[in-house]
Amino acid sequence: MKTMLPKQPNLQKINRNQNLILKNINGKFFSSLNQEIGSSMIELLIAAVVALFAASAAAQIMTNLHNSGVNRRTAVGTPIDVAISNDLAWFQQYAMLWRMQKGPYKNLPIQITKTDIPYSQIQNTTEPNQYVTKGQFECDPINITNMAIAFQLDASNSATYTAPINTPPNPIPAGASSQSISLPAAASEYTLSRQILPGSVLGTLKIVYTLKKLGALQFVKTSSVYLPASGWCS
Amino acid sequence: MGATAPSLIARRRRPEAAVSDESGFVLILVLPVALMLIMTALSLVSRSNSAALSSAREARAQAARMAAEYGFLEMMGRVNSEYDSSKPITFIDVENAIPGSMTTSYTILAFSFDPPLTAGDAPKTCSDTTNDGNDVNLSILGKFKIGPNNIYTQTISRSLRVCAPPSNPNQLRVRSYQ
Repeated sequence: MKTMLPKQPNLQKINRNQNLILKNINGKFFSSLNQEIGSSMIELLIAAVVALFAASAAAQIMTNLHNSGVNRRTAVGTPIDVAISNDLAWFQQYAMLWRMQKGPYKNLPIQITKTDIPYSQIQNTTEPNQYVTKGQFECDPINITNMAIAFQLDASNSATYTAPINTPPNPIPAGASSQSISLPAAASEYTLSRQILPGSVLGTLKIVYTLKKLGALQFVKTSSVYLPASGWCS
Repeated sequence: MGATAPSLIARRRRPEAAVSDESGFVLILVLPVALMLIMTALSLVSRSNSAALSSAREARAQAARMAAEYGFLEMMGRVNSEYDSSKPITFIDVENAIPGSMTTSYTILAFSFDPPLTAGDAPKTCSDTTNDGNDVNLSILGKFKIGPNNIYTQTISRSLRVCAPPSNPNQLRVRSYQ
């Protein structure tokens, strides 16, 4: 008999939903009353617990993936920054000593200063540091690259690496050739190179760092080194 | 006392709640899981993106600062070779592209003696035995351009100790800096 009658699901659903709504208004939620749509509180609780576990697991996996990416970027980026910073710091230190005639150091060999005049320590604190570039060919206002070239030639000489300056972290070529800079194993996929060029102003040096990853260019950073000796040109 | 009628609760219990074709159980199980997974994924993706963005911004700000530092070091060379007190200063408020870089530049925003030189005063003459000189304050703006509307800037301030060489009293020589 039941199979012969046309189905009227909509009417049934409406009646059941009305029933459910009324129950809700009365403050009694018996979802099991709705046989087609509803579910029991137990089912709801199970669903919530499973959802929490699933979300927690997914969050943990994605957080780990994210952290590994961030950590990897940091692990690679930091050694590269440090390598550049160390390399640049050596040039700035050597620039301070180059051509120095009087200064705060007790001893400064002429193998470092690259001058004929012996270095002497300042005795009076009101005395300034002194450099011996006065009248030198490096101060030629026409050939403004003279000083930078002379500095690089002296820096590339291995005999200059005695106290108070240490051996440079990376070799220094005499010319404008590109020099590879060693990187730690964490950044082994990268190649960092440095090129030394005379600056566009007398007494400045331009140092260009180029980073490549498997041959693809990542960045080019240009730094400048000021040679304090140029302040004594006259 | 024949067969007892089934209780009201028993009659109300859905017999096949977990397997019914139209059961809400599957839906109510899958829906929250899916929603929570989506929300978790979205929040993590947005967090990851924000971390990547902040990292990129930091790198760009660093590039702008490097440009400003480059400008300061080159500026000292220009003070030594280009400054002439008898002529107007030419290097203020001029944007200078850093050679070899299409995206970075620097601008000298301020070049001022401290204390200011009054009219008729000249910078102190350089001496080999004393530290006589004048202080000059510099302000340098470094720029890193990504697009016309996407420019990162950093401004640095530095001080120079300068004096005028006896042979060229209109010029300046940088004796020290900080």
